Amino acid sequence: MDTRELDFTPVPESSRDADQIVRPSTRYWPEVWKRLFRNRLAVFCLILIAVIAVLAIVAPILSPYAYDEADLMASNLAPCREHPFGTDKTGRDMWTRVWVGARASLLIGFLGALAPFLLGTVIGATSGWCGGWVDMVIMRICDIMLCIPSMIYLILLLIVMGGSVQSMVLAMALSGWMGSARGFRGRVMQFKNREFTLAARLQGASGARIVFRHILPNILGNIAVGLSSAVPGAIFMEAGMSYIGLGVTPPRTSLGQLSTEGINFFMLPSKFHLFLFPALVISLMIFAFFMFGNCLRDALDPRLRDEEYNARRLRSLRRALRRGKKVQA
Amino acid sequence: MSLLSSVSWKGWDSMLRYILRRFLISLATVWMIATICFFLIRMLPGNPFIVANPLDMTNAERLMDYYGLSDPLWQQYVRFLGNLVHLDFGYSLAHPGRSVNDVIIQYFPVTAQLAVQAILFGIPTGILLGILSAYRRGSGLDYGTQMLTILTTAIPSYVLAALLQLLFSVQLHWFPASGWKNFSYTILPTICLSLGLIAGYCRFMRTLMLEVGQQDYLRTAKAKGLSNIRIIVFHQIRNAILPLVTNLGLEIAGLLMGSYVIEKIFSVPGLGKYFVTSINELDYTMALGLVVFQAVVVVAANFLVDLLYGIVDPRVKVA
Amino acid sequence: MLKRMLSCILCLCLVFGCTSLSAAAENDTLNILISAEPVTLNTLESKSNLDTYVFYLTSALLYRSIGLEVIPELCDTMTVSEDGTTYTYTIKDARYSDGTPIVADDFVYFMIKNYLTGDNAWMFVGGEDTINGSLDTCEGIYALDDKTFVVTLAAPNVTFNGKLEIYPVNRAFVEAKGAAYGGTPADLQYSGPYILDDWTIGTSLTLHKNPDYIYADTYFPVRNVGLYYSADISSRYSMWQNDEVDVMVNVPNELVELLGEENCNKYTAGNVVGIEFNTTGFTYTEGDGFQSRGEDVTALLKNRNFRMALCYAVDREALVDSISPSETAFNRYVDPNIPYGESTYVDSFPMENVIPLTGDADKARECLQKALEELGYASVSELPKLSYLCFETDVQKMFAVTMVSLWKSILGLENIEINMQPIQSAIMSMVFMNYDLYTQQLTLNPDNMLELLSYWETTGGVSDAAGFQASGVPSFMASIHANADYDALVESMYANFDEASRYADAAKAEQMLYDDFVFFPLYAGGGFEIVKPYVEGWVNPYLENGYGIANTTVAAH
Repeated sequence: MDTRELDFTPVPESSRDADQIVRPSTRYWPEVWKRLFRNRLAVFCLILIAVIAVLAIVAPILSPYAYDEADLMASNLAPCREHPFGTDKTGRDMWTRVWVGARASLLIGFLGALAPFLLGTVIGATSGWCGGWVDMVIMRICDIMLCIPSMIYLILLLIVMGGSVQSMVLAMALSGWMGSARGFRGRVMQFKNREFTLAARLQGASGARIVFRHILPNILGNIAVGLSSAVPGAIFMEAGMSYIGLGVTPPRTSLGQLSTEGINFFMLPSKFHLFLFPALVISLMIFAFFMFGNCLRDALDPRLRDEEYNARRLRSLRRALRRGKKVQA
Repeated sequence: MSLLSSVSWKGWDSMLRYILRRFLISLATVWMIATICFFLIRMLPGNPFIVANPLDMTNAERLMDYYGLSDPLWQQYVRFLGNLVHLDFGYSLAHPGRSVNDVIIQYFPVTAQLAVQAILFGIPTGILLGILSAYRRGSGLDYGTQMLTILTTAIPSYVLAALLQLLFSVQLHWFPASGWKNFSYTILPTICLSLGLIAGYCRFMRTLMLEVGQQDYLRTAKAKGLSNIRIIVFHQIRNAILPLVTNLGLEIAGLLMGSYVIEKIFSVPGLGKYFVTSINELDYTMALGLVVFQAVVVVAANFLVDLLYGIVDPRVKVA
Repeated sequence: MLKRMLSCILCLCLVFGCTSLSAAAENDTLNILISAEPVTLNTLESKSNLDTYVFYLTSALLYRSIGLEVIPELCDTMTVSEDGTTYTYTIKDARYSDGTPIVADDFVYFMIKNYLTGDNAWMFVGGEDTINGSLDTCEGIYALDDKTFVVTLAAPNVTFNGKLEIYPVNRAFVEAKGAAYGGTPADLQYSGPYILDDWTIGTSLTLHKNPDYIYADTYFPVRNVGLYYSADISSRYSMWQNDEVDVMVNVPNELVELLGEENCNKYTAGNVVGIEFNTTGFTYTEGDGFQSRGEDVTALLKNRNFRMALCYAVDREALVDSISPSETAFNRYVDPNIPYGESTYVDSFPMENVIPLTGDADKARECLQKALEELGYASVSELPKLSYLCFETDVQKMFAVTMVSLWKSILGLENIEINMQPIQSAIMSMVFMNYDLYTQQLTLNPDNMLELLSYWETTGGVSDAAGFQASGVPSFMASIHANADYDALVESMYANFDEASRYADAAKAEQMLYDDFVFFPLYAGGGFEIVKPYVEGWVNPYLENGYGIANTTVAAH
């Protein structure tokens, strides 16, 4: 028993807690949220999105003018008290139109990012989980769809459904699911043979359950980042389609359409407001979503973020040292 | 000796079989695309000969008969496939005398030139900026490039193009605003196309560089006392650039399809604009010819990327 | 390294900037910014007045108007037989730029291939046989020898006098080229003042002077012509400001204010745009054939007071002015440019009982009230839904949306829905009568008013029974406008060679249309053009059959 005493010295009473978890345990998502809300830029972007969304919902309701109400006697007014954003060439109130347009753009942005993703997820999961010939067929369909110019079915959809938010979203879902299907398929294949999947399968979980309850949460972070950066993409796609003439049907409007119409006036001081306000709102919206996506990525993958933070601290430390100032470490 | 040669022969054999299989699948893909597009385009209401003036309506039907468009659809489809096999896309319906093959031969190089210029200018610049901003994280340069990427993302390309024209044509009189004659006409569209590339690749490269920077082998290199430049060039960039290669193929294929907006604004005679016009005019032969051509380009690019990836990254086995 | 790269790029920029500037300073070149490209160079298949520019490349047979005077181009003499049916032409000595002499058969070939269509085959002896048999010859159109050819009409016809666009096309050349004819600059023979060097589709056409052109020494002093095409409005502005072009036709409305309205010339192009009502009561679908559009809808559209109420409610002057200042608010059914004596037909024969262009909201409500009473409706909310079909183009969209808004605010009408479609589909829907209201655009040559008037005949327009028979679509006797007196009057005009009485008849016919109010005229299409001060003698080619630059010179600048 001597040897035992020699080899193992009892731990002193004071460090008994060293292998205990002293702090409250944190989980992944609350931690992400915490990091996200600590980031001032992220909070600012969220507030910006919220303000735009609230204005888009409320402003047209409170406005005394309808967005499609023409008044030939009040055309091309500069911003004034009755018309904060001025009026367009047929005398429609730009304030109302910009927010009605923001409504359409936000809807298209959200749904247009979500719809292709949902469709792609289901298809990608099926393809990745089933494998074999199912995978082969789905991936070939994917290849084919990628090569068919979306222009053709966009025009068809436009004629069948009319240029509305629904048809735009449907069009985006039809032309955009291939990317997320491929991505999701890759992820499912990656996780298919991992231990936790095997464990779930041994417990008799169904394929759908494994994919959506066990694999999906693992990649939710990536998906969230992808979605938030897909929103500006969808808003832009609508703007681009408006440029070709396939956007939302007038008199309904979107920010993309308003800024496309306005672009021709941005040299003209008397009509500059027709360009400025829609372009400003769409740019702010895209900026907010884009930066929020960035912040979300940083919050999900703090390694990059911290590294950057440390580097900055180190540099400022060095700079301060060079200046010969006293620094409290 | 005999063992070695048989192994390498087996390798070649499987490689060839892989290539052959992929080639057949590619052919089938192109055929499927052509078929789907053939029927989709014919579902669009209207016909290419209809004109806006109702006083001139009867001619349309005569032309429909002349071009065989009044025949049953399956007969037209068989004819279309027959021509496809001979790689003859026929003549435009909306613009008599214009051969589809000629249009592709004449204007694909235009799109390709613009794409190549944008890639040659945009991707190295983007990668360079990405490396620099990753290397000097948190510096003014880093924030500057971040701002650039945000700006190019948040401003629609048609606004950017108009601004470029105002600056370089109207104010400075350096480059022509629109047209396609000599090299100076290509500069503004190239800049406009490459801004997106610069922003995208800058972001991509910066993230990759930071990610690679976390890897253990870099720590090892640092611990060995290698110089910073050596670490960045031989260890960090080499590893970070690998994922870019896969992306490159599809990027090039996308650019080779042409950009409608840029081509329209700068009046570039490229295939992207031409395709949209032909759909709008219901120019069946022209639209189908361009679809099939673009499908071949994309399918070929996919095929090549898969092959290249096997060469660049030896861990991936082609078969 | 970055600095070196930047400085390299800057140097490159400077070099190319300078070369592009020096290219713009040439004096014998006229660069025109056009708003639409020619559809085709194939003279035989050309159907579009956008091809006006193409006809810089070919001579015409008879007359080409320059200003208001008319001069024979390739025609030496023209004799008309006493009964007014046989025209004999002799032609001058001329050749194509490749040296081939121009012969009488070239005109015959063009007439048979281009001129003789299903719409006007009845005009010529043997015309119907040629069309039905898809022949290359026609009994009534033939060459006597290399210098003489004869055209025989089935009956004396004033509209034939108006058709001046007969161009020489060499039969052997076309047959040798086959489907490729007119595809590239090499696939065309040039008999006009210019030869095409290059056509970069969607970008530019480059022309140089044809020394073999018959009037090469007299007209067309400019040696090189560049036609630039741009679909983007801000690009057009930049091109103009950067001196890349000397003339801009069809200045977009958005740019007029920017360039200064006083610097732009306004012109009317010769089309009439307005709202057509589907009073046939039918709609056609493939498979189901003809179906009723609903009795209540038809009754409503057939009600003259209702149609007039819609018109009274709109202040067309303010509407056109605010949406598209390049058009002119217009109150007539025919082209504003038809010449008559010293002035125009439109000014010489004013209409009576017209609805003022400025509209009248009270009158509008009054008319609507009357209509409601006549049809037995208690209020506007009971009216059936109407669909307003229009093109998916910026200007048309804007007009439709604004008018629907005005009808809503002035008349309280909420039953009119806009159905916006891409141009081709919209026209298809119109042909199949799949609309209640439609923005109709009627285009024609200034000297062929009868064509437009015949559109409103019982068998006219898209409901032309003969036309539908030829097209394989079953004929039907539904017509937008059915008025036997009107039909008789218009038919009689075809044989009336006395200009004064023919135009008086036309005014009578137009008044009938106005009284029936079949069409709600909105505006006469037009545009602005802007010309650099150093360009002298520019005439808009749209008005002058494409020969606007016959006397144009470019001074040093």
